[in-house]
Amino acid sequence: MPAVIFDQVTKEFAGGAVRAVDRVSFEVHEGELLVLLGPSGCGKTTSLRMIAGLEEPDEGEVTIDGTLVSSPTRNVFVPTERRGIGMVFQSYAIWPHMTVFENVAFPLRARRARRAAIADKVEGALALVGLEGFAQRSATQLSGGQQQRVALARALVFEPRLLLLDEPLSNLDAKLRVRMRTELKELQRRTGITSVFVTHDQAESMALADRVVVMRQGHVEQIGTPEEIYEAPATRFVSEFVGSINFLPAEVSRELAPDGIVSLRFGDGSRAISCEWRGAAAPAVGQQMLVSVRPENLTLRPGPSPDHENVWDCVVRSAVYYGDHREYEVAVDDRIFKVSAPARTAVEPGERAYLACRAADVFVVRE
Amino acid sequence: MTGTSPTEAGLAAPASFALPVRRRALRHRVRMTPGFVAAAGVALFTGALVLYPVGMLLFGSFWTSRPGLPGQLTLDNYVSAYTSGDTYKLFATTVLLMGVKTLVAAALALALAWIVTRTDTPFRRALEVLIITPYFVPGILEAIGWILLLSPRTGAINVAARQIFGLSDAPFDVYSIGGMLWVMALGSVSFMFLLITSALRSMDASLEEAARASGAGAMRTALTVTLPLIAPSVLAIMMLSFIRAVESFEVPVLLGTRAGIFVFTNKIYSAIQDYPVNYWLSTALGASFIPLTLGLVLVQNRVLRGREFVVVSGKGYRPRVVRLGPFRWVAFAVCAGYFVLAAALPISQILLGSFTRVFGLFEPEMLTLNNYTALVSDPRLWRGLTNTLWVCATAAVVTVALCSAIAYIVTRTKHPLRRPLDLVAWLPWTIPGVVAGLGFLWAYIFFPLPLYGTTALLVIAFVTGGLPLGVRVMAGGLVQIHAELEESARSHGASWAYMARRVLVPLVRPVMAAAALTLFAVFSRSVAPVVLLAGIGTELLSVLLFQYTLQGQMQVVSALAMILLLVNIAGLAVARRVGAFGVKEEV
Repeated sequence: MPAVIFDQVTKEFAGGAVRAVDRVSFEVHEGELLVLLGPSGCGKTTSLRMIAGLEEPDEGEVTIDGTLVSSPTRNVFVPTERRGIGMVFQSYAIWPHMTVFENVAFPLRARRARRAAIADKVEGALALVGLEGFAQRSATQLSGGQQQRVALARALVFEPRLLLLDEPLSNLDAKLRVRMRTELKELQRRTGITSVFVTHDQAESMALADRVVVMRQGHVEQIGTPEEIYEAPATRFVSEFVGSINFLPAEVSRELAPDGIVSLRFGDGSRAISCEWRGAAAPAVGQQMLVSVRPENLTLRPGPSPDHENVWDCVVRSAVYYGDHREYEVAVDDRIFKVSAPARTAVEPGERAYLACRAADVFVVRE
Repeated sequence: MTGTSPTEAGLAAPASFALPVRRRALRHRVRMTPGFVAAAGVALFTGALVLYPVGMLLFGSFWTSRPGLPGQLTLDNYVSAYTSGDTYKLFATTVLLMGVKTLVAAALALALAWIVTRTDTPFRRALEVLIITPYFVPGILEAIGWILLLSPRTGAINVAARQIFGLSDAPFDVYSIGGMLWVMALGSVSFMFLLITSALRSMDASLEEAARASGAGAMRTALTVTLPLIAPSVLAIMMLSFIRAVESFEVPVLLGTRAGIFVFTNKIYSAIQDYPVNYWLSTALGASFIPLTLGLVLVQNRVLRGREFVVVSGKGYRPRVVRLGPFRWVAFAVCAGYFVLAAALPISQILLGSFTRVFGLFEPEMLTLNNYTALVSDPRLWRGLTNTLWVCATAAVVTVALCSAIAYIVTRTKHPLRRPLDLVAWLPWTIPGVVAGLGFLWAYIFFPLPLYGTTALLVIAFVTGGLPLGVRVMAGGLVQIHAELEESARSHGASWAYMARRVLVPLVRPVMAAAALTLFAVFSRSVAPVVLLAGIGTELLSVLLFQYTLQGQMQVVSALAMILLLVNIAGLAVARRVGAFGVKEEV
């Protein structure tokens, strides 16, 4: 049984003028880390807050561990404090009038735990996040990273069945963010706690998630593992949101081959592109579709390549050196492709070259 | 209804009392939780507190006889009031007098604010503090101080002028239009200065620097860039000051009535106090006053368009100062002169008077402590002191408790009654003190519970009047506390009550303390809303002071005034301390 079932949930704001979340459904499996990913205003935080019980859904049902916690139609609403969750907030929400110890002990005291147990558990939670010896510090004396750890310790001290994290890393500087991300993932693996993590940062979602729910304007665009989301995005929005990409309107020119390769035409019709077909029904000849290929899957070379199904001659328009790689813009006829190439690639702007990619790296996306 | 007229409620921080902003109503399921019911209870209680006296005043204005006596509905009260030429004269006098006062005070306030924020005048930080000081002097003391200085017979300046120049007549008379203008203008400069300074400080300095860089001199920059930019703010501030003036009570009664100069407030007071008592006129005028001030406040809000003045100063930046050269000492003298006239002179005259046997003469053998010992032996004054302490303290605590609940409901919940609650708690802001007092009189004189003539009624009057200031301060305090601090407690297992006890209250406690002390100071000085309610056994220092001044017992008055000033300053000083030390940054 899934740990959380989010079933056809809708949330409206401003008297129905804004549908922040519109019939959204997903499940969180036991022990997994699920990331809700999307741009601001996509409904990811609202969804998380509805799992937490900080917002009431207008429609739909939320179930945690088999217990129905929100259902407007059945007039069920379990208040936040009785949902048995741990939560880390974007602002950390460390109470400034309490010490680190008091902050972390709060979930235990609120539930009237025994004194002896409290001291032990707080110590354990602080050790878990690497803050041994900080117990008596005032919460306001901590750095951002330390506050983050206190927030995490506080969320875990009660050993909740569900951990909710609302953009917890977004207030940290870039280096610390990457380090905390790794630690968080490691901690989640060790404790095996079912977690829901909200972020707008696609790299963060890739690095952390067991599965990702990509949201946009209150709808779910795609649910899948990070690999599925990146390599086989279902929609144009997802493909763009999770990474840089080239789009190409094209027309099916030949029936689907037995090896699963479909051939298309683009440009003035003289250019061909092959693509590995992943859809169910075979495409009809003459059908228009949008194919795409990521810049890092394009190769720029001085001569034609026998290893790639797709090879076009091109003109290099511009080149930018980034240290670890180079980024090119090249033109095939008048169509521009972004290419991310190894730093050692030696082609200069204005030169002619060949652009190549494998059929397996080309995919069709929905608008 | 207000126990605290805007004049007094403006005391602490709120530079403006913007009408609560209209938000679109949320479609929200109503869940009959205990919290929901409690919030509804708070809303209904507040509504009753405010609307019952207003309603009774309106009813009274359509009633043929006195409060609580049998009679019938009638329009005669209004007909009589509005067919009398006196009423229109009253309007004209009010608008003209207060309008001129506002213009004069605004010009001076603008000049002082510019000097302090934009020039190299020496000691401008100290000057700024001095210019703000009169703001904290209760209005009634301002009037008393100038009576002691300028009353025709015994006023110190008149006595001195007669002796020095050998005049037979007093050159000044405080009981005149000029005297009223003088005292009121001096009193309101400080308030306007406070707001204009913050408007000047919040202005982007680069706008002025751009003018200087484009070749404009200091004066040209001030007149062509600075002034037009803050003009909307200044206009709104002037309107606010005008409204406060229209509602002001002590100066018109103490200085105007005696000279036969009537504005709205002293007319209403005279109609009930003078024989024969004229209830119909007082209620008809009082009830007409409410839409008038409400209209003015709404217009002022419109001018302000949601902008508010932040009194908290300083982004830490200092705009380029204008070098005044030798004129900087002139500027210094203007600022210092204002402080002397608005605070130092009247207060020191009261202080001196409180140790003097006879007024107008200062010789060492006239010094005495009798005025103070007389206070000690007068049972009314003792009761006044103890009542003031108890009633104002109780009212302050109750107001803060109620306003905390209201502010929480309004800012943190989606309760369907939160918008009406916000409005009704704001309404007393628009009701002048003396009209409020009239409403309370009318409402509670035959109330089922025997409240009339008790200190409990004074508490009710103060609490009702303190709502706008209290809600405003508490809402400001709550906004400072990130909602996630509260949500985080709830999501970690705390019930609402546990969260409130462990998180919310500890975090807003400094604000609550500061609000309570400020309200205490405001209540302890206010006259208008309680002057009709405080009687024998329910004396208040402020009301006694007012009545003794009317009777001309100036020796007792000055000693009493010093005590009221001390009570006030003590409250405000503690409030400042609490405010300064309690509120943590970034909470």
